[in-house]
Amino acid sequence: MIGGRRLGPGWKSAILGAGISLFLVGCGAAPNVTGDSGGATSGASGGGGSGDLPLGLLVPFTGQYSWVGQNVSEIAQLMVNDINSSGGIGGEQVTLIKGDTEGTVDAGVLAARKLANTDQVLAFIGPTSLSFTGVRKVIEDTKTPMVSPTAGTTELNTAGTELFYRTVPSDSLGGKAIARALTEPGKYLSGHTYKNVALMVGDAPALVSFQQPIVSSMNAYGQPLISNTKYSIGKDSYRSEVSSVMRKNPDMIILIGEPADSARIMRDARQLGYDGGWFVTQDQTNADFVKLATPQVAEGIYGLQESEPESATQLRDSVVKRLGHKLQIFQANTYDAVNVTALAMYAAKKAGDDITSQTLEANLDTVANPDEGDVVVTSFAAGKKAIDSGKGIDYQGLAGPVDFDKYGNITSPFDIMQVSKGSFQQVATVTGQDLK
Amino acid sequence: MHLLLQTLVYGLATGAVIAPAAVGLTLSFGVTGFINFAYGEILTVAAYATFELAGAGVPLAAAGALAVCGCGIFTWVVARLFFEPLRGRGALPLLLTSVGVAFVIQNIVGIAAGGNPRAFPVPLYSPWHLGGGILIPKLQAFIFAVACVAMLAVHLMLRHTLLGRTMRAVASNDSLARLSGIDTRRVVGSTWFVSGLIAGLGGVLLGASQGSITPTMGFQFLLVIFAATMLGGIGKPYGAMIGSVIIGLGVELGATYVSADYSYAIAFGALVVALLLRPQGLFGRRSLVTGDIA
Repeated sequence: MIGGRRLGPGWKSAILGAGISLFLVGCGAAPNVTGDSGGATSGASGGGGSGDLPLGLLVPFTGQYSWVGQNVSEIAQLMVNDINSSGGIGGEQVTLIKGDTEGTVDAGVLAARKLANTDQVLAFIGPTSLSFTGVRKVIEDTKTPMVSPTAGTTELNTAGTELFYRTVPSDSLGGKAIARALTEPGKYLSGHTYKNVALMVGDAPALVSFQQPIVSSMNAYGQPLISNTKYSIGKDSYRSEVSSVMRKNPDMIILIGEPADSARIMRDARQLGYDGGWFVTQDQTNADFVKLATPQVAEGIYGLQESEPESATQLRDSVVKRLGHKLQIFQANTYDAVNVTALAMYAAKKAGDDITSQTLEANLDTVANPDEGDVVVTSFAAGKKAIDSGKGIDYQGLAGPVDFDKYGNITSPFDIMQVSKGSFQQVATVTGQDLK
Repeated sequence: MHLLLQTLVYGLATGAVIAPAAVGLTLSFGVTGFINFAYGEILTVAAYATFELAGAGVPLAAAGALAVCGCGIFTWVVARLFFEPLRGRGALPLLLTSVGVAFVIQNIVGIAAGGNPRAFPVPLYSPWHLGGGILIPKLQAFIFAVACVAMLAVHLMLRHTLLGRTMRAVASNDSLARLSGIDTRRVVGSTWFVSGLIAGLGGVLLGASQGSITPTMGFQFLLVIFAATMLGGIGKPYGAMIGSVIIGLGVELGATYVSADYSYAIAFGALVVALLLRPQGLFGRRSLVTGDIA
């Protein structure tokens, strides 16, 4: 008998408090405990008055989405090193300052406020869709522009005609591309036809953002979903959820989830006897996901990815060589976000302006969008050279052309990929025209 | 009826993953009087150790066994370094220290292994088909069997070994146990070790059940472990076993019959109601948070 150990009031309060904290962590709303926010990652510790040009990396560095921060910061640092080693922005060094959003709204707001008010960053590289809801107000209040390499959220579709930019396409387009492919199988899926399509989507803002575009697009293309299930993220198993969907006899499940949950769902479904198809989104359309889900489970699944322009192949190989590994999720988009931001700063400098958030933003469209006579560039060095020679530039990066519409969105064609013999292979392309 | 039976099978499978971890936690509390918030990280370490060992060519079962043993030692070391010096100084310092230790371990794992999820090297199995369309997932059946054996081992240890008897004595009244000639310090150390072993097993089973691992997996799972522990009556190993099954059933029933996006909310809502009606937990004594290890 383990008797006589009384749970005193101190313990009760402590357990209650810690329990609440854990629950908040579980819900993705915990305060920043590890405190990565604000650590400069390059050069001096930022600050508008230091002579440096600080950019805020506003992404999750801790929590279950810490992989986003790792992927983004690795290539952002590489780009900033390149920019600084090539003379910086007219002699001024660019610095990166981390703001850890933890993948939550609350922590995102705190990190964004600190970056904008204390570190006085010129722009945010970020945030993710997970934090955008809260960060949006900080962006508007502080007039600090964002160039997000990760936020596909439909909230950004018409968030504003200034301040909001992204180098990743909207989930609206992604959802529409999936629906288009499934409803015209002869054109996109090598003739494989799927009549009973179900949707499973994780209950997180970044994931739910896909739900409506898919539902409405499937309806619009005349093939409504047979099931539309939203599931709790981060569970250790999804047997009941998968069983519920399987009772509707789907022959295709569109799966919108984070990689670990998606792999878990697919494994659970496989072990429960599901042998239909899967369609996953960009986060899962990569070799890492195939490895995570195991090639056995992933064989035959369809995925979506932004089309890689042929012109970027050489550039990609060069970046991959320098990183020492293949590009991770969001790294191509980050490459573009940092480059286009730095080129905008350089364009402002060359125009004789002080580099501020306002002058930076005013030049984003100028360096990214095509104008008559513009030189197409794919790197900061090439853009700088063209600007120095008095030419206009049209930045086209690693993830494709970066042409902002009036709301700062980019449009991208999508490749339909399918896992064959353990790796994703392209089977079709959904062009921009197809998505209109 | 078929649906209900199938959901109950899934609920038992989920409970089997929770149970070892919940028993390890409640056991350590029963003896040390301290709820270790770094406990979830032991699960993470076990899962990653198994992953790395298996990746190095060690057979999966052997890798799991080595990881479990390693976690026993690891937990003992962590307790000796960070928790034992603070015992007797109140609840808050220990609590905060354990939360800090949790984040340190979590970050070390993240730095060492990367933040991206990794596939746990467990094979895929097709399910057994019972009559009426009921499916029994083989892997979950195996996990259930391992959990049952582990629970039986804990029971036998507590009932029939000197360590178990001394653990019960220290938990009941450590001063009296000391006066009776029991080396309480040694018993507490052994308890940390045993708790670490069980947590390690919980981590390996969790990794196998999930099929993928992340540096935050243990910390995220801690909430479920706490729920099972509190529901059963904190400090009560048998209560933790029952609490785990109830939580597992609650999560799966909620997902099947109410809404998949509220499965945890439903299970924890039931937990709150149960604790309001019986604050000491289902198997706890009123006003005492104790464990009938016997």
